[in-house]
Amino acid sequence: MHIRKMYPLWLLLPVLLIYGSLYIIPTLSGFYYSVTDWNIYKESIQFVGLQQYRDLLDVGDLMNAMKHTMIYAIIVTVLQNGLGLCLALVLTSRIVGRNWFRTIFFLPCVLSTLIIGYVFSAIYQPDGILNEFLRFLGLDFITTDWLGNADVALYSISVANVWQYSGFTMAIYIAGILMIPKEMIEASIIDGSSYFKRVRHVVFPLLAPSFTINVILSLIGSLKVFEIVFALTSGGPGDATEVVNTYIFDQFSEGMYAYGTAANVCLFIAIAVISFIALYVLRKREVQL
Amino acid sequence: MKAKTLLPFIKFLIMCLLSLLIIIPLLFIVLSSLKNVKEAALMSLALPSKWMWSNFSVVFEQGNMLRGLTNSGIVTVGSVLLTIGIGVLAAFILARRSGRVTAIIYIIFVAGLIAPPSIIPTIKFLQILHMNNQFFGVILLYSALNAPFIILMMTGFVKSIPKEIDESAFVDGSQGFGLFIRIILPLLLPSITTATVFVFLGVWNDFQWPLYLLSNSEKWTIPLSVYMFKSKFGTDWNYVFADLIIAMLPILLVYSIGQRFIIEEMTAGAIKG
Repeated sequence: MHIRKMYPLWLLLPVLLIYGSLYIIPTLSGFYYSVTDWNIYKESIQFVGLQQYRDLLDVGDLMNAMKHTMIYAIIVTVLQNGLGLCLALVLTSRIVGRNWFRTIFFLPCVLSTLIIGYVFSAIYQPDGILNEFLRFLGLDFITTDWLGNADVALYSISVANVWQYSGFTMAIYIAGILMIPKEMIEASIIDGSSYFKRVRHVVFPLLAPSFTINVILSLIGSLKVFEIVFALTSGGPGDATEVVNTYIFDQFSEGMYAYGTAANVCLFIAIAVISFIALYVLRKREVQL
Repeated sequence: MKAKTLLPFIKFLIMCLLSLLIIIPLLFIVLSSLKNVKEAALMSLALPSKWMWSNFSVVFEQGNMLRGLTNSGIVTVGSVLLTIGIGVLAAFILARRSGRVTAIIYIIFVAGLIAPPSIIPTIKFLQILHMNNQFFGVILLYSALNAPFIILMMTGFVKSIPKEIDESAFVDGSQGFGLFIRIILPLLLPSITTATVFVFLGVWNDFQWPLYLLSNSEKWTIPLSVYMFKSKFGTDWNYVFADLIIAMLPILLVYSIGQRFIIEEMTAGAIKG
């Protein structure tokens, strides 16, 4: 055959060159730099081994950032998928203004996350419209400084994230629901099943692939979170909302490159392990259903 | 029977309330951007006592919006062209050749879809090459980061084109790059629009990489100029909101014209990728 002539391998060169030099090499060399004492104050870079990680663990900042990132990812993934799925179910049923609602709910995800962050930083002000609204409802006891209160700041940020991306999750579920063969739904109606039974036993199982995509996307996306946290709190108050990517930025600004890189390696491992497990579990579930 | 006629109404009502959750924050910044400093600081949904349209011209100049828009345009268009160009070309080869080497290369790209890049070494590497503060460097970086997604998605589309088409073109004298340009590329155009929407929005809205890379104010993209504006005018909310609106406007315009298309393309992209 003429495979070699028809599809010469050198056509892969441009992408391999760019991807190799700007993604593969920095990412792999990151593993090395994470066990050195690389920082802005030293002329030469010295190997220090795992001492680096021990230091980071002792100080606890990184563990703290890791913990926040995990909590954040779980909240966002659960809320975004729950809300997205409900919206998708309602907006594929018979309802007036279906396309209009879809357009509105999808809108925030095409906007810049930094801008959304600033919009919410105004809404969350102690005298902002959220507290105003709560007072109007007579719920004064709930009002708080949504970003200044260390106990709630992380949750406030995740709500902003859910606000932005639920519409995207919804759109993927809608596409999944529309792909379900009509005959299957009709058959279950003829069988006399109730709406909720139909959703539970017919729609959910057939939605498994969309569920996998959505969970993986929101999980990975929220583990990599940076912009919305940076815009809303920059990790504060104190370090109550510090996530791994804001931690890396702080270390970069302070010239502590090795610390930042070590945090990056931890994030790399966490994302690899979590998405591997999630994919394994979700795919297995798809097959069983 | 009564419940059945009531249900659609309740559903509609709940959807209306939920869409208010999206609309009110946006309405709030539009109204506040037209107030004076004092009124805007009150953070209310009340109408401005005097409509300060001048806020926008002030911000447009103070915030250097024109430069930001131009810079974002250059970076985004450059990244889209380069990423799609090299990505689709690679997808063509990876879809058509079945061998150990191509299989391994494909897996390396899949890995890049999940694993986060190591930020500081990447930045330092670009600094060594003197490509920080340069559009070219940022464009190359975006291409490297978006390539896995494009390749994964496009490989699927190339596979759906029958190989017989290639073979008859080969008999007619097309091979390699020529075969790609003349035969495959035209057939891929619909799916390339999907890829374009994705890369375009991703790059246009991105703030994290410009924050690390573009310290020179001449090179700030729109999100970075918004960030700098907010740090400078932090408490002048009317100006901040006007700045946010100008920054959102291009995407809002595109979205209002082609929302259906954008939603479809982005959904398709996520499912295929």
